[in-house]
Amino acid sequence: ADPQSEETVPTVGALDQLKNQPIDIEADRLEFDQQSGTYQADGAVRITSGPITLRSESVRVNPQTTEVTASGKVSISSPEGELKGESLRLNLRSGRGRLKKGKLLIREQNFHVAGEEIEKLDQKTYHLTRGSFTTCDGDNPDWHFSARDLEVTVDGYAKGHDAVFYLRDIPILYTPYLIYPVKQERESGFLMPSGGYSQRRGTQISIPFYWAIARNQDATFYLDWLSDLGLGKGAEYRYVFSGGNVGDLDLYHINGVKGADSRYAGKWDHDGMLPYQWRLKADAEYVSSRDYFEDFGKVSGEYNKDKVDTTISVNRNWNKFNLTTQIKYTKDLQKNNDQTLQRLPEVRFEAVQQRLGSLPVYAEFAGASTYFWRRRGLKGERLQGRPALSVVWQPGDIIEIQPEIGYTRSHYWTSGEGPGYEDSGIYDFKTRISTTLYRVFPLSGKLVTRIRHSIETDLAYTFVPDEDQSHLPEFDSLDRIEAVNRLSYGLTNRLVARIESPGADPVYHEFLYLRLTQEYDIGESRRELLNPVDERRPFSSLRSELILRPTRNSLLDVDARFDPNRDKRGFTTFNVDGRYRDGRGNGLQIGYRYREGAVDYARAEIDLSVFKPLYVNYQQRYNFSAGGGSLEKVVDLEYRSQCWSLFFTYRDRRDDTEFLFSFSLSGLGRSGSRRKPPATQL
Amino acid sequence: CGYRFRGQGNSLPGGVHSVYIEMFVNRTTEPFLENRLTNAVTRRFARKREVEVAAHRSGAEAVLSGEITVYETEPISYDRNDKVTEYRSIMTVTVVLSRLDSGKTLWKGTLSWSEEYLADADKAIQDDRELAAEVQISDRLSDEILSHLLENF
Amino acid sequence: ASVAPGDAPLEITSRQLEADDAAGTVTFIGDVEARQADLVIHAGRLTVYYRGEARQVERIEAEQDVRVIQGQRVATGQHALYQRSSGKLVLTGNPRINDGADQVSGDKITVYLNDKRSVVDSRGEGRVKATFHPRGKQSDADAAR
Repeated sequence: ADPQSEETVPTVGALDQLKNQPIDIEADRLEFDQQSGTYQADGAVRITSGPITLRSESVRVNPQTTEVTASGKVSISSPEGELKGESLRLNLRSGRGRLKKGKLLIREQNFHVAGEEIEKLDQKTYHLTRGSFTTCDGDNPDWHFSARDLEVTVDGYAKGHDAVFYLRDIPILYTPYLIYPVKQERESGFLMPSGGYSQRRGTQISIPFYWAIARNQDATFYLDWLSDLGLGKGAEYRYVFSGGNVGDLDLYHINGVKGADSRYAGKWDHDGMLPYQWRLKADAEYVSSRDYFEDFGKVSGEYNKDKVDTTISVNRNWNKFNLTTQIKYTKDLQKNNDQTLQRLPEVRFEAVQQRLGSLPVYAEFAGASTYFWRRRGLKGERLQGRPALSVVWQPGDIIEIQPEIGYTRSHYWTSGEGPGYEDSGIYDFKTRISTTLYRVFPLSGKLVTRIRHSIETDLAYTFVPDEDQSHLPEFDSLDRIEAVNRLSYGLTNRLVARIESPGADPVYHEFLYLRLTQEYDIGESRRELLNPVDERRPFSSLRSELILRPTRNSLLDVDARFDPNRDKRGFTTFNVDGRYRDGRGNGLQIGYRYREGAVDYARAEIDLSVFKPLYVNYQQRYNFSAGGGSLEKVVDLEYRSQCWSLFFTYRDRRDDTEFLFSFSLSGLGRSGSRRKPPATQL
Repeated sequence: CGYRFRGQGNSLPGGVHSVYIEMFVNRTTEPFLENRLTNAVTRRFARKREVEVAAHRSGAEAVLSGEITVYETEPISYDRNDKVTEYRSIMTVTVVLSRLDSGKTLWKGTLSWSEEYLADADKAIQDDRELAAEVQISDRLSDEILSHLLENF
Repeated sequence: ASVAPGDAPLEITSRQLEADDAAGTVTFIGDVEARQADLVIHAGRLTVYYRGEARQVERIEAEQDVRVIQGQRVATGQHALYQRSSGKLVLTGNPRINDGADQVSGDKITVYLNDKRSVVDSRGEGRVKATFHPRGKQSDADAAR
């Protein structure tokens, strides 16, 4: 900012284009002085140029120097926002100017800024002396911040010194330095405090602090006071470095109360480029104790987490080749971690399937060398490679035949307890035969003019010889390649509607997807029966997957398996997922999952905006098996006023009941329901 | 009965026939996804009559490229003690078909698919099941990509 | 007829002329065209008021589709009154000035020829309306005209 320069004006972005737009002036009186080449307009002056309109009691314009001065109820409105003030000095060409007793509205974020004097520093930045800002409309805002001086960047932040936060006109909070997000785009970790009570954690108060380190980095710090667990300190650091390096680092530490020892956890996500086009990925998570999530996990999926993984990989692609080195460490949260199998490291070289010249022949190769490690138990190195060739043949341009043959070669070097050096080689053969039939049904409707029905039939025969692999160590499923002699067949129906939209290309919407698949185990069909009671079951369950999408924001997804064998004859799995949103804030989601002998669970969620300004969200999770019942109930209420919101969350789960209050100024995230509540980011 | 093997208007957008399939870019923090998806898409496109998979970029009329933008695996069902019984893996990919000479985008879409797998006390088995789910998702996503690409009737 | 008010000779032509020496007026009727240096006035009727033997022109009044042309600038209106003593030209009857693409209109336009100043006023509900095209650097000179 060049404070000494007089001509800075809070033009709102587009005003600078005045330079090459015709200017229309309307006033009660207009005087043109040829000597000075200036125009003086008085009396309800309205100057419009392109998208900008300047209104004032009197305006003097010098087209030569593009110098504009206006005084008396000055207001400039443009697509980005509104600007009002007492007097204005504006240089059209430089776009700089100064507005006395100005008010600025940044429309997109409904951000009202006012100040004794507003100066425009550059395209998007304003400086205010004795400024104030709020997102509340009207002259008597429910809340506002005032600051000795304020710098507002249109798509960034409002930063001020000696700031005071007012509720109505009662000063509530003083802060020497203030930072507030103007644009919500960036994942701003700016949150407001929250408080409440939980049986497990006692009274809980969470106070976040936000620090915008730079345009590409910011951090949120938490202070969580949990009366039964201790004082939690959290930090969430987000960065976007050049070369597409994006990531965030979360740390949390809590020193125990009443003799409990302190616990800590860390999480690091990163995806970015290293020199020479190597790519680094990290998804690391660590907790100091297995019960960490039980205490600090808030949402389901967090408080009952069964493992934490750390995966760090470096990879490089050359056209169709890919070399990746990965370290994978898993910490089992349900039992002692000594037996858990780790991959320290695993190196994979793969040649993605590629065509050989103009022949319809495709080749691929996948090789991996993995060092399996576990604290106690079998350790060892496995080198495995599988080249594969496939051919495509399309007789009569009707049927598509794609046989594929592969050969898996494995070599093992294991530690003492293991068999030492071993190797094996197994072929696998698969051929797929498929064809698709289409029919287009013309419709007379204006909106939907055509519907296409396609039926894809798909038959696959898979054969893997029965090789004895008992001499091989067993690290994972690739060490016991099962013998297979199986036919699998399927039918996929699709109904796609072509929807005309005026003036634009037609939109295609698949509103029905129905896939039926089944397998016939030839091996099983020839198994000699040991005892008469036994019976062969060559047919697998018939799986049917149905996805209905009547409208863009409604969905019904049914995925069920039906066992045709005589003794069972019933559903072995039955999953339903129904979703509906009406686009006005009301929505319903119901999910039921059943798997014979393992899963019998349902989840329902309702969003209601009919009691506006109160928005209600209710979630219920239920387990139907014996001893199950309600697993969790969550009631989430939000009282949403024009520029602030009050939140109340009540959560009742098996081993904890919790409620939480929080409030948020519009444009800020909310601690109560931020995507990952504070304690559980980790 | 009106059903035909070669539906009218059932070709790739812009009437292109030969396509060079580029290695997908993996923007997630989960390694190896791009190999599986590129293999599945190549295998599916190779089998399709209406498409000619080009061996080299230079010989093709169009290029298919894509980015895996999301890979998440989240618990989806719980037992009577509220312990996780099933996980759902979901992968989202943005795919672009563009003409090789002009670089003009012929089609662009974002698709996602999910598959569920059983949790297990032995985390190695659970990881194997997640791997199987990833393979299944890659195959199904390649079906979806091809099916949406051929929607210009 | 040429009358010599002020410094430059003023030539006026028209289809008809009525002189009224007692009232000290000369009235030109029909396609009147008055020229003085680079200033040209067209009108349906033009009356020159003068005083004393030296026929000193006091004021000129033009009516019916008056057009005052000075270089590229054209001022139009239904009635124009030129006061030689004050060098003030007042145009009324929805007067308008066009200067290339720019133009101004209002209820009354007053041009102070001597000190190169003009004022456009509106009366009652009427508004002054003007349209300007910002000139690029090179054509600043015209703006100064």
